[in-house]
Amino acid sequence: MIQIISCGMMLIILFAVFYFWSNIPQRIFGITWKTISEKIIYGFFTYFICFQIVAMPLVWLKRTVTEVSILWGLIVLAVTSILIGTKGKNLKRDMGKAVGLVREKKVLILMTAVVVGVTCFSVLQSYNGWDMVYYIGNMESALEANRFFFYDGFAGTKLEFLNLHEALSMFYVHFIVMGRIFHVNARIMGFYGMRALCVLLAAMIVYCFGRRLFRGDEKKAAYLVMAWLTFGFLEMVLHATSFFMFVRGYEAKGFAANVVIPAVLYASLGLIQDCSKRRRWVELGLAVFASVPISLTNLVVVPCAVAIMALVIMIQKRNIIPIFLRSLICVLPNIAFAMVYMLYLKGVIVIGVM
Amino acid sequence: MSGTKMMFEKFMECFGNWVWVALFVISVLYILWRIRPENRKKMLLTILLVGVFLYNGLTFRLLSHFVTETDSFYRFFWLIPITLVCAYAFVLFWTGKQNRIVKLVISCFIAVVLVVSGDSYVDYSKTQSIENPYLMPDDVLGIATMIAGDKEEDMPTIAMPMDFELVYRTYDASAIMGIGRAPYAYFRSNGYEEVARTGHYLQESRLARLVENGEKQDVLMVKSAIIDKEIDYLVINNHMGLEDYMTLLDCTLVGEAKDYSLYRVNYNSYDKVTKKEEVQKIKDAMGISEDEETVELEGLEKEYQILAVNDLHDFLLDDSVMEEKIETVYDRYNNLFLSATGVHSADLWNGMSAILDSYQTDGIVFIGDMIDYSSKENIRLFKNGLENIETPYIYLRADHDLGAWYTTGENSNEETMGLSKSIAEYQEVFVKDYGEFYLVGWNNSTSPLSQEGLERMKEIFAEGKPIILATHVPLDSIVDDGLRKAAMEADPEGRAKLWGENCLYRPNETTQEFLDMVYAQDSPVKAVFAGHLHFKYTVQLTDNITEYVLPPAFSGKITRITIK
Repeated sequence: MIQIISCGMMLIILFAVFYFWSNIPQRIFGITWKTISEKIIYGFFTYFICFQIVAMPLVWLKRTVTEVSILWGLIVLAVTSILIGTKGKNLKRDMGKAVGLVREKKVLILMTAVVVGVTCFSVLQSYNGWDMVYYIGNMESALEANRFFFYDGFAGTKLEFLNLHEALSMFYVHFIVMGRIFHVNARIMGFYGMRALCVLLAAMIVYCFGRRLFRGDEKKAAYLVMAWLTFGFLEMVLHATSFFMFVRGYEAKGFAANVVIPAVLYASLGLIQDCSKRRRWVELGLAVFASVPISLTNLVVVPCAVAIMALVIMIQKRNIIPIFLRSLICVLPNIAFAMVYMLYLKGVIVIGVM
Repeated sequence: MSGTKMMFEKFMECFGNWVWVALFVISVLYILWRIRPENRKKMLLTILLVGVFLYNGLTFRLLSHFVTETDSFYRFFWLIPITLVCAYAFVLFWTGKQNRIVKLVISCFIAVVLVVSGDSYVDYSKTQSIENPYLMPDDVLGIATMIAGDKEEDMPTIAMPMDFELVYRTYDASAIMGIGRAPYAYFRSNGYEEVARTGHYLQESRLARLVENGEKQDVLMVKSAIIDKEIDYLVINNHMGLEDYMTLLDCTLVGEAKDYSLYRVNYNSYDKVTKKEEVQKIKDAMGISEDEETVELEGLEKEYQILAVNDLHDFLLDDSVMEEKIETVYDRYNNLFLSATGVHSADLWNGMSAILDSYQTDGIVFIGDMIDYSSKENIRLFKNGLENIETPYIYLRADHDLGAWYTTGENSNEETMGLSKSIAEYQEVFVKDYGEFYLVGWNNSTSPLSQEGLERMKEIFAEGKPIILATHVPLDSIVDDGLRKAAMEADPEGRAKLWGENCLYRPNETTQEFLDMVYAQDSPVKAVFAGHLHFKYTVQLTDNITEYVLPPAFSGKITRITIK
């Protein structure tokens, strides 16, 4: 039970961290996100990009879980403290706005209750499959051995080389680190922490979608979230995105299907509506850059989405070069990751396990 | 199957059924109808481009070939936000100007159709049956607690039923799963008959038959699997009635959870079989028997005994075998390397290695082709057996011990040599001094003797002490052509697989010099023991030297050589 409470605490802390870290791109690119949901989503992407940059070299250098956890814990503490010091008052303002909005539109309370209910349903699913064994097994092995990806997720036998299929995207590494910091077993972390995070972030993105589609109408956005959750419940088939959210939310694929890809579509929708806004390119760039750190599934899927969005805008605007260049910049991290992955597959990058 | 058709299958895996497809199409059409004309154009353009560039047979083929596996293509359909589009259309409809009753009726209709046609992948019953915060059966927690309290090794290896393993692995990472995903998948989808035919995951499948199905198989075969996979614990369903059978397997009950029990493998009784009746039981079951050969040396103060084991061709199939060679390997496995009682060489080795010490000989000489091809799995298998043997031994390699036959061929000579050296000591020439005579082994005699080997041979020969020579490839007789003829008859291509002028192995300069030393009138060599031909034959090599070609060990034959 203590571990479940720790997971709850972790979620609260992470959401606070995401909120404050959204100030980093806002400051760098001179943009502003209006809602808490947007801030949390883009804070989440910013956070994961930073984590990838810090953790990947350490994992490749075969540093221990404890070392990475201490370093990352200190970085988060330092950066968040600075951001609280400089932007702390924004939280009070945003919270005040949110409370006012909820008082004004009661449907938001209903939506929150539905989302919480669905999250509870989701975390109680005891689905067992080989993928679960592999991912949670990998995490548990790392926590047990204090090393990342030294042991096979299925059988627990020692590996000869780091599998970059896992060690290129830092998603699981992040939750291993969280498991170490909060003293949570991988299974509890996956079932309670990661799945809840997946549902909550996905709901936030749909809420943002609703606001964008219904031109800021909070009530309709809340309806959209509830309708989306209801349809999701009814479409629980093997490879549906909703199944990956409600049941397999502890997998990176769950986040890819329900957080990253919707975020890319959200940014694309915004750009198709109006590509002159800098904020929307930043949204796309952040979602795409964070896509591989969150899941290797996004390595090709996300660039495909960006390419089609770019084509639509190019045809519409009859303006090829600037759109092409901006889109290309957005997918540059994916290209870099793809090249590294190809080198790994060709046997050029081989990292032996001690 | 065409790319379009395959793509469509993946598409349906994401959509579920035709009701969803219909609802999605209706939703898209409704959205197109409701949105502003300029947005309608953008939406239509997006749909068109998505169809042209992404969701078509050609793209599917290209992406499946170069980027992702066919099975993983469904992820590209996540770019179609099915539930979001349906929800958006629904909200547009619900907040539209229609009559409330109409809205309610249509909404209920959609819900009922989706519920009735739905094929949910979620087992809702499990939501209500949570036994603990780990969302796992109490049985698993119970067994994990027992293992934690009982284990002597940091990471014990456990064989457990698949569904049990699926949960256990995510809870306790300080254990190795004796039957992993691939063996379970192979065993479950192909059945044991296919496993027995191909030998693929044979040992794991035997364990799976025990822990999954509760099948009481031949005790020695299951023991062989337990030894081979180094199983420390077995998890057995209490309702299978295996209590007595587990005793036969020398497994001790550690404890019982609700539906499962934990058994510890008692390795003391596995490593070495010394009791006469136990040894006999293994020999009978595996078809192991001894041939006797006697070499008489003048003036010996005592009698010596040496065991000779050759041509075991020990192997287990693993994924290293090349696709085009797989049938050849199956054929070798099923038809070639079987003992008199039909036991495969891998099982035979597990039994043989456990009883070799019981012969209480002065030494053992393994005269080559002990494994069928160099692969990590085969090396591991052979090495595991050798580690049980306390009698001093020498292990002479031959082409099969060092060649990556049938495998991917990626192993270089250096690598296979490295693997072989990891099993046991490697020298050009092995010499075992028994005081009154030398046992000399020509290592890797499927290749010419090296200069270094020749120099060593000269040193030994110069000492003048009687020599018993062991070589994998027999030497051609200079006084009798019987062996050569027999070898040619036995070989499908009519080759005489011996060292000699008119034979398959033609000596180079160094090898010829060595052979001349052996054949010389004053040669200290008193007898030669060889293998390679897979049949037994005795021939006079010269007037003074007898050559014994020994029967292959895969047939269950061990040769006890008495030197007196």
